[in-house]
Amino acid sequence: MKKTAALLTIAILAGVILFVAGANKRKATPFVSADFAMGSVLSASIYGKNDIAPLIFEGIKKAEAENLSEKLSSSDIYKINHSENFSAEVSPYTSGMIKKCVEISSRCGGYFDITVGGLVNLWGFGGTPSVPSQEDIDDALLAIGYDKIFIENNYISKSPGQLLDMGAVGKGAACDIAYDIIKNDASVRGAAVSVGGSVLVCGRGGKSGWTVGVRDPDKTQNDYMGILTLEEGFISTSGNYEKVFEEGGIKHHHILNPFTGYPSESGLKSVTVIAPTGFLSDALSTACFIIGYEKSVGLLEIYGADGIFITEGNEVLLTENVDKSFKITDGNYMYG
Amino acid sequence: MDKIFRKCDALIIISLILLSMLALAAAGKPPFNKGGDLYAVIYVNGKEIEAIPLSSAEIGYEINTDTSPSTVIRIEKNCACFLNAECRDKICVNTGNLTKSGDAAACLPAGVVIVLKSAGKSKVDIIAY
Repeated sequence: MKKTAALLTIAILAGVILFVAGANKRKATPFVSADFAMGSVLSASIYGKNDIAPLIFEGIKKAEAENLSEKLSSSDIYKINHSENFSAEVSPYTSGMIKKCVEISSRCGGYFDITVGGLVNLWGFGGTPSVPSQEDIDDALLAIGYDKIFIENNYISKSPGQLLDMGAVGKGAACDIAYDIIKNDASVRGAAVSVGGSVLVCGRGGKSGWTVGVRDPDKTQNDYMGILTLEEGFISTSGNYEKVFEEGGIKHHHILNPFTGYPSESGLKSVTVIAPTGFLSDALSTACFIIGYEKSVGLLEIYGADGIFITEGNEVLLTENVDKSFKITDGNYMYG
Repeated sequence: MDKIFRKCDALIIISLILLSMLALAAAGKPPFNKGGDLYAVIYVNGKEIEAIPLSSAEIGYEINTDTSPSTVIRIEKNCACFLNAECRDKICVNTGNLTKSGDAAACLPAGVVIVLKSAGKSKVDIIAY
């Protein structure tokens, strides 16, 4: 009886040790991977039994090649842009994406518009940028207009001279693809994925909840000025620090106002949007950066999204739901 | 009625509890020398080619990547960066020094990424930019 009790105790203790030790070890070691797609760095930290980062990266590259790229001839967007009769049949995925873009455009008065491709090319943001002549900008503005896109089932038609550019939504949409792959794999407990700075956090990582740093607009992409704490979500930032070039003593960034043809001047350095999908977070961060804080509040409400706005005076403006979950960590910034 | 546990049984159980605590501590310990040690992971075209513990880099050195365009990565104690690159825009070089877990720099034309990782706890899980 004594021996049985002792052996039983040993067996139970050994079981508990192995179980807890195993669980602890799983928590401590995420699979971390990096790759390229959409002209950006992809990174993924996967918590769970299997490293599914290669599947995620493959899914994102597939969407770039088949649907969203304006440079790869295999993609739907390329086909629309280069169609002789200005229309093309595309996949349901691409058609759905364009439809969602047009809807956001109509809700924000056209300040977000995927038909800015010609204007973006004119500024040379894909290669060697320079300030175009006013005459060329005026010409490029004539082609812009989301209301000139027509969608019938999976047939997309556009006006002559118009070029679609999915740059404002591609990285966020890639986070949605990552999310679908993660949710379909029961072996994954949690993941943090970045597609060129558009972020997805979901499930459980090494601890409860996730901490997301918001980039300091005045420093490098590895410096943050505040920390957002959340359980799960999609986060995208648009700022005046990306693809910047200097000409005539003036710095020019790449987020163009579709009405003026020039880089947006809304008094903001950056906007970070937390939204129910990656597509929304990406599209809305661009839209909000252009329209400014006051008009953005209502737009974000429509989509159940929230925003962190950093003004040129380093004031930080928050929408209601992030008021408690975001903390400034850099003394150069203050709550507005 | 016999006692279920004797003194020696109690000793065995206490020993096992101590052993279990050691096992738990060992399981929670990161797979590197010290908690919080930084290491630079270098990827070329999505494949990890090297993971360098930065705490051991007492004397700085450089790594030339066999890529086109080529890049030069500088490794120092608790710091890594792109020192030079033959690409046009030099975004990778301008990213500057990587000094904390999660910091990353990339030369897209060369397909080279450096990511700093830590076995210890970082203040943030990821940075939105």
